[in-house]
Amino acid sequence: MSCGLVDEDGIPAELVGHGDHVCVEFTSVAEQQEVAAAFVRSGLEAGDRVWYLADGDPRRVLVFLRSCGVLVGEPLASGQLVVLAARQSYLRDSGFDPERTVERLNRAREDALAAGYRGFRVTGEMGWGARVTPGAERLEDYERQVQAVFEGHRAAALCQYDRRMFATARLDRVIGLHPKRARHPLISADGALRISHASGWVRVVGELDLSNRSLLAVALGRAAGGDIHIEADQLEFIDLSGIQPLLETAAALAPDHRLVLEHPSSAVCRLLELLGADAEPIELSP
Amino acid sequence: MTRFTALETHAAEEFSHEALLYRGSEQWLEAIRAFVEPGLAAGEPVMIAVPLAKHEMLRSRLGGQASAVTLLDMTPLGRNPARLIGAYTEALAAHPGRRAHLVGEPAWPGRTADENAEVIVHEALCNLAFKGLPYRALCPYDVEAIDPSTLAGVRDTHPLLAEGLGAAHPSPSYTEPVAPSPRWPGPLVPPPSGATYARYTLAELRRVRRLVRRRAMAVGLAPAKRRDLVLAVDELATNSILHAGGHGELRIWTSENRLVCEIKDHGHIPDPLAGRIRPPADNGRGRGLWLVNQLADLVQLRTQPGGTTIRIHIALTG
Repeated sequence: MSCGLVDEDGIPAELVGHGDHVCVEFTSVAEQQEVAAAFVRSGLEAGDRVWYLADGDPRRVLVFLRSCGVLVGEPLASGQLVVLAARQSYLRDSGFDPERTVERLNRAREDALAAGYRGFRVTGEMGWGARVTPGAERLEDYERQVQAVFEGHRAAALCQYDRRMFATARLDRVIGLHPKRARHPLISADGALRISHASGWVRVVGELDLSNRSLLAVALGRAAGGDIHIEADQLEFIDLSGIQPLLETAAALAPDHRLVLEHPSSAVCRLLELLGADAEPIELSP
Repeated sequence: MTRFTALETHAAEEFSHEALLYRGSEQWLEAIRAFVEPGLAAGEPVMIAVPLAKHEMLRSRLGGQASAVTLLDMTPLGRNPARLIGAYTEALAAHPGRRAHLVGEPAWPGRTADENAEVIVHEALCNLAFKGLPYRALCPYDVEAIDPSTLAGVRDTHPLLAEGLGAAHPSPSYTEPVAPSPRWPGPLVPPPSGATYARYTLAELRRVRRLVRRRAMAVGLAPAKRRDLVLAVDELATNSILHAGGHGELRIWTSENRLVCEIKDHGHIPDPLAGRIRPPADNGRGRGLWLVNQLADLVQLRTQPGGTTIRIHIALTG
């Protein structure tokens, strides 16, 4: 399964919902962090308890979550966000025991609901599965069984696979055990702009200008067809070049369809205020 | 009545632009009252833009008629004089084809020489922007408070002059502008040698913003003004990239209590009214300039074939 296919078929990490058991494959740390952070952020915002199972030092995870704009302080203190190393989670039983890991995840889900969270979501870095670890050969077994932790429950999972670490045939087998795949956001060459999209939904993060507005045009084209909701709370900068694709898309919508900017950042609000009536085709939802 | 009809016919055919050179508030009040009276009598739109501090005395002079006047505070409106033509145009758009009466006092004590030079550019461009429109404009200037050089500019840019309560007469030094008259605006003083300097292409657009943001933070500019300045410089740099060969130069420095950003490129902006009137939604370059004029406290634009320099000023306080 190629990355291209994953991109076409997958869903943005932000839209992973309860019941989903999703995998993401990546070939760079930047790709991995982007998707993982989006999954954690949307879980925290939705009121889920979030477990992050790190292959290595949990402190590294906190550093990149912060740098991706996830506010981790309060959720860590309250217990909404829990970051554990693989040896405290997957590999707790002096090796990997799929049955006991599934059991612990079932318990974690019920604990989260009992504690009043809306649901439970977990994301794990699966790199340990490619190393010489007792039980790691049962990874496929595990991915089959763990499905039941999420299916039909207020729980979701994102399993992170580094394509560089696994043999191709094995990775394709493991990936195939996930009902859904997460799609990587579109990222501008300099990393200044990240765009996730699905039908009717676009999330724009970073700085939008002449150099990267074509990415937004691509995402809007793929999201078009009905109403389009655009998450713009983390759009830190936008100028006239950047708003042009939004204005053009909004103007070209069928009369009964809408383009709505959700939670626009202050940068977006300021530009729309200056444009006044010229920005009318774009709706705002504070 | 006959007199008003004659005036109406005359005014309907061309823009009338008169400077009032006054001494003291009594002359100011009486000249404005006399100027707007025919408009108020005819029930025509009357708009007066003068500093807020003068609103109260003007209201009491106009008495019962004051409520028919649109009174605007010139201090924020005219902070950047390049915004005024657009503001007048938008306000008068509500009365298409009607004769309108406009009083605007864009210079006041305490304005800098740079600001007053842009006031005169604005006055010169009014003659172009409103040519053929049925507007009468009176522009009061306080001869006791405004410097001689600015007053010379006032005489150059107003076809009609009135001294105090005397009748208006043609200004001998008025020259019909094709572009801003050669004396206005004057050349820009060179930037200080210590100015922050960067060249940019599309690849450096983000770096340009970061540089401006960092300098603005270093001088303590408030977040909202910082955001406006970053947006303004970004729009100007974008214009260089799109319309002036793809590259330009940025300089940043502080001058008295202002942060100044200068964008220099090889482009030429032939339309002297560019950026002064809100352009249609599909106009690229004019729209950027228009936005810059709304964002900055002062904009100095100097353009000729082969080169354009635009300086934007943001006040560090106020």
